[in-house]
Amino acid sequence: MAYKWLISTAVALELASWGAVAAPWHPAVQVISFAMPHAGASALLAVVLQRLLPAPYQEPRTSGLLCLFSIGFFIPFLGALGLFTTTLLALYLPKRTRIAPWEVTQFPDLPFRPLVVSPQPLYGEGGLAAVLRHAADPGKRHQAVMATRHIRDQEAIPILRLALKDTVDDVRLLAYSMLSNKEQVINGRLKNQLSQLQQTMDPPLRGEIHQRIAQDYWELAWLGLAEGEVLIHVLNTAREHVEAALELLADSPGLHFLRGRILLRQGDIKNARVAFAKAQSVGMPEVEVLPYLAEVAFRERRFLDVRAALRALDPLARTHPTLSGVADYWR
Amino acid sequence: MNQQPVLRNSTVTAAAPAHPAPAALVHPCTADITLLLEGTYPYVSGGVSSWVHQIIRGLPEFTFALVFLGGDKAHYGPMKYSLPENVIHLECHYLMQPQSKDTHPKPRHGKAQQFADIARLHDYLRAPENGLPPDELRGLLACTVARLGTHGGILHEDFLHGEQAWEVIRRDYTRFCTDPSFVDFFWTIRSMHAPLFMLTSIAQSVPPTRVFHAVSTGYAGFLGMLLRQQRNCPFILTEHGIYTKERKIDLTQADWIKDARETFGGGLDDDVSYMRRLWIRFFEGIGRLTYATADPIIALYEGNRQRQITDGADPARTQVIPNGIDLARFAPLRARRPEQIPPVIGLLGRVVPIKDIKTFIRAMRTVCNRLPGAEGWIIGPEEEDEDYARECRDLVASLGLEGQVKFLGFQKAEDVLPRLGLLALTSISEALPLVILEGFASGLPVLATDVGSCRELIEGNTVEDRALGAAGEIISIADPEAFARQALQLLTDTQRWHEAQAAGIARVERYYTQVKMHESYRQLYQSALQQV
Repeated sequence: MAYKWLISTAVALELASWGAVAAPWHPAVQVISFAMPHAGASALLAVVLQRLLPAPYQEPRTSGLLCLFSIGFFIPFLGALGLFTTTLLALYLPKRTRIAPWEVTQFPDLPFRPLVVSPQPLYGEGGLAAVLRHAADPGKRHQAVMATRHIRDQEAIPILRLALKDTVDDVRLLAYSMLSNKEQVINGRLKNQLSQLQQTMDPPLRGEIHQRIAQDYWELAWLGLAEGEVLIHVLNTAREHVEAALELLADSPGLHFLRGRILLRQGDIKNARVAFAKAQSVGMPEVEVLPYLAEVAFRERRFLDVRAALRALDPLARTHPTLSGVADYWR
Repeated sequence: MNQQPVLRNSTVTAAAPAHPAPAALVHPCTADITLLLEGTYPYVSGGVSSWVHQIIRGLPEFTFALVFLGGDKAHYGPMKYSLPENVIHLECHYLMQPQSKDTHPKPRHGKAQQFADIARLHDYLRAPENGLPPDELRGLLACTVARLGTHGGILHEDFLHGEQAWEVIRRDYTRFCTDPSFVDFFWTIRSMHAPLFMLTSIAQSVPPTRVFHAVSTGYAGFLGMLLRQQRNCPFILTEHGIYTKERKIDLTQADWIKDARETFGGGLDDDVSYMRRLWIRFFEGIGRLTYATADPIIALYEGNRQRQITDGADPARTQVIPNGIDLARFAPLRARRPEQIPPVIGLLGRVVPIKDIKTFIRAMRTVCNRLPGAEGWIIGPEEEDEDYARECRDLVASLGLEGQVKFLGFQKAEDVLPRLGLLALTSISEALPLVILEGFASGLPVLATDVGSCRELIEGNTVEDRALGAAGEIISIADPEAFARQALQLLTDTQRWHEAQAAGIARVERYYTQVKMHESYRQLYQSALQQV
């Protein structure tokens, strides 16, 4: 009820102030006659509005009142109207409150999925060969064969050969196909080089081609792609080409070194030793030759020389994974 | 039955026949059986083609129509077989032949319901282990695949230029593709499905038939499934090898598929890239749909039947019908054998990588070193993969075996079998090789790799069968040393050789005769024709 009286009085005072503006009085009298009732109306309005405000907004009282009064007083009519409409709208048409305060949303999909890294990696302690030997699940064995794509050929080929004996067709066929591809790459190179050799007359160039052919034949043997009689044949052919190359490029350290390795694999230890010594004498770095000289010494049962060759190795070279065990043993 | 074979060239393209056909385009009669053949008879010689020829000739009471599906026309020469008289129709289609381009494509909307149904089918194929009741699957096939390429279903234009198709591809890319390239995904999906739309138009033009019989899954099986759905005719499937498995091996190694994952590096755990898996799953999917509609599903031996079941075939609809041979043709060859075992090892087969001829050649290096005078004969056509044949000849030369390993080309089996001391098979994949049975019947022990049913054939399957003894030896694939060792033992141990010969003859005569095989298929066709 108090609001009604307050509002009615405020409206009456406001109307009176606007009436003073319309009266034919002296401007100074007009200003005073307008300002007095307008100030009263604004004050009453400020009191009413502050009470209508939600409790949290009613504090602090004095400055709140002053603010409301200022808006009403300094923006005549529009200020009052604006304050009324906003306050009333806010009070009587509040924003609809949601029943559930939380909305569950899903993570949006990424444009493509990130790779999933298995928490149980395939390459466990036993390695891929162990997976092939012992995993009961053919899918896992298949995956082990696929994984050989990411390791060096020399390590992959024995694993693929093992997979050729798998009980499941898919695993065997995949291993065969991968082995066959590796072999085909080398055979393709050999074929090209052999045809180049037939067309080339320039001696140094022929020497280089012989060298590349010897290296590819050697790779077939070294990687384990040739076995049995075929291996013997491949090694013989490699030696023929390396010797043909040496006739044209007599001081090539790499060629003498390759010849040494071929001879060593063929079991011709004595000539292998000579070839390695020659390779060293024409400039092959010691670090490359010494491990082979150690092997030659071992196979000739000159064990003191094995130790000497390995001790002469650069300390860094001795840390090479394939050599470190042997080097430690003979220290 | 005395009808002339008719060759109808596909609207797509056709091969030039070696045996010219009469002028009429389509034979007016309804064929009893239409054989759906992918890359085999009558344009490619080999085990499957020989089997098809054997079936057609052995069942003259039925008329046959042949639908040949090939890849690129340039890969096929003239017909390798003279068509029997009961073949009344032949048509050839080449699925990898470039199509005429639609130069003025128009935007289309595409039917939303059809695309929604296809999406359901894809969801099933993505996770078939979750299962779908057979009736529901057949219903889904009837309203999707069966209507493919027709106005009631998804037209090829809808697939190529429709908004719905674009939406499905876009959505599937964001939901499933782990390969970052949308362009690769988009074009892979398009090129993958292109042959299926070609098959839908082929299905509409196949002449009237009472029974359809596909000789593999893959595209031939898909065509059989379409025809089964559209015409409600019985559909029989016989699988020699397992198509899906062979495709999987090809695709795992294929270098025409780019592996984006490798570009960004990858760990040892990496399996096959998404695009490769997509292709593999595509063939697994069409294989599964073929199994869903074919009845019966026939394998040549138990191992393959089990594989079919693993790949989604209903066990109740599967059965085994082994190959069989004409004993009357091969038994007389035994009398033509020399008294001494000839030191000649023969490999009868096409000179193609799957036969792994190179292992045979490498093994011959060891055999010839240890048994001077031994020879290896490679008896089979070389045209199918001329590069591989050349590589084999180069290998013979590089191993210095020119005098001992001979390439004889295609020869009549009757002419060469009596001159061999041992029959060799170094294949990396086989089903039930007829050549082993022919070797047995002609009195030859066999040395074969452990693939397909070779072990069953050589060592026996059932207890009773095993009691007949070993008709040769089994070795691992790609193992020339083991091959040479076993070959030398068989050739030099006369008693063992004769025991193996006796076991082979007894086994083929008891279990693998052509009469048995023909009778099985006669009954199968008769019962299918009764359903019509």
